[in-house]
Amino acid sequence: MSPLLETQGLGYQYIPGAWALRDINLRIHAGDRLAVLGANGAGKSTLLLALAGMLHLTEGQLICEGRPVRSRQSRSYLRDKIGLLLQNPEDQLFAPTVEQDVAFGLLQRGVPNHTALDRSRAVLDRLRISHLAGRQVHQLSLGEKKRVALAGLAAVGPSLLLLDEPSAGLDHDGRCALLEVLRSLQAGGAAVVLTTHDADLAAQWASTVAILDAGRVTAQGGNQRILSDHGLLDSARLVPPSTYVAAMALRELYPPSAEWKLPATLSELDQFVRRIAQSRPSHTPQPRDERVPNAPGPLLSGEL
Amino acid sequence: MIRRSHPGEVFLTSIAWLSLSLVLPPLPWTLFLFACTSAAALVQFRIPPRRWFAALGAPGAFSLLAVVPLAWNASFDLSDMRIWSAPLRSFTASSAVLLLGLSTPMMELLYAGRSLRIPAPWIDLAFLLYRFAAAAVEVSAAMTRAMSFRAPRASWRHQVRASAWLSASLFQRILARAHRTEYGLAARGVSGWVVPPAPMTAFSLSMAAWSLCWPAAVALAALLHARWR
Repeated sequence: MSPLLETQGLGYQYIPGAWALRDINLRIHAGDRLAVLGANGAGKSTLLLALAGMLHLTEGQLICEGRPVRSRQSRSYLRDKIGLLLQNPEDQLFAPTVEQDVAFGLLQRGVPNHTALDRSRAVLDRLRISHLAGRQVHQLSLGEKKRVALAGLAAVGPSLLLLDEPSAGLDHDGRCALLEVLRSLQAGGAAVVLTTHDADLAAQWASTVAILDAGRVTAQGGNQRILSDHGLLDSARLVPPSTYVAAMALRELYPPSAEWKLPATLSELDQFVRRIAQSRPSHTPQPRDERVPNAPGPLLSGEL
Repeated sequence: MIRRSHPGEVFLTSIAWLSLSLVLPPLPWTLFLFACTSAAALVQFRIPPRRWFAALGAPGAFSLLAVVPLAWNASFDLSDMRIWSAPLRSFTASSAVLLLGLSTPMMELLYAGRSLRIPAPWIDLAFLLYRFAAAAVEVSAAMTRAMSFRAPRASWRHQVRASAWLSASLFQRILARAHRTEYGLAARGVSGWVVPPAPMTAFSLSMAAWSLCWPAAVALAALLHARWR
């Protein structure tokens, strides 16, 4: 089966001689969850614009469902398949109210106004943000704007979502809500590619990770393999996920845990620590309530 | 929930006040018309007062500036009505147009334009100009704010130099901002002429008639005033 989107030796220069992207080879299949990790200036946003067919490539080519993207028609076919979330959601919110904005993309595709509004309401319901429907777009917080922009993309039902630093500038709640929206979108079968410099987010969400450094993909593979390679991340000026760092330190202290899956979230790290404690006969942890009176919930709670 | 006016209702009101400001003699009617437009803006269409008066600053300044060459032409005889007529008319006319611009989102204006069968390229051109204007306002406001924070007690000379730097980089930044918006439009599926969403409020004939009552009353008063004299 041909991939949804493929790049072959993709390269792009903003000004002649200065490569923003070089020799990028990616294959994205339906249902993939790919995180492109890179430091500032690595070329992440440019890569997403190139994948969305918005740049005239300097070299290489884009292939969408086995067909090269060259002509105007193939470019608009690609854009119909793809939803692109820009880093600043304000750049892609145009209508006065949330409901109207979510319907905006549908209107551009020729869907009649009342049908577009019905579908807009359904998407807002599905993403659990229907309480925002009547709000003015300019009155929303950054996190809400990002969710509304995502809802606008989801409304047109793209096969591939490209998200440029979706968690940038979001607080804990905003991030959790965003991840919930992403999961909900993925449940519909869409492939998602996101760029970030946040390795914690990549560990938590992605199934595969690509490291982008100075416009080149320096490594690509499974989440655990790439994100536990400190040397690789360090050379790309990235910080490993905090849960991985903690778990790897624990692995050194307790070698049998080396075979266990690395924890991606704080709650998984909590379980990791408890499992170590339980498997060491000399130290059996007591139930939390007996150790600290009125203790709140698990040792490490929350998703992140 | 407060009902938002349909762009058609605002358009009719705005056109009515605009026509009156162009037809009625500026003295004594200008002040009265301006008061009526402001009342409509603040009470009927709920434009925040600060926004309304700030937006009137630019046409006010232009009208004031126009007084100087006109006064020059009239040998600075300030009792000559020719000096005041055009600036006062243009100011009240601008306030009537601002009533429409400030109370109705751009997308709804574009929708109204399409409903009136204005050709799609013209609508797109208006949207393009709006995008550039919005980017210019946003970027220049951000840069001015940043400049005032970075050099709060700069001397006049330094301020002039900083303003020169600001204006030198302003155009590039506006273009960059506008470019990002173009990507945003493409990302939302705009590949030709933009299709604006329909307003959420239906056109109400009674609301439109109510809005037109006031300009009609003023027109009647002006007629009676003219006949009386």
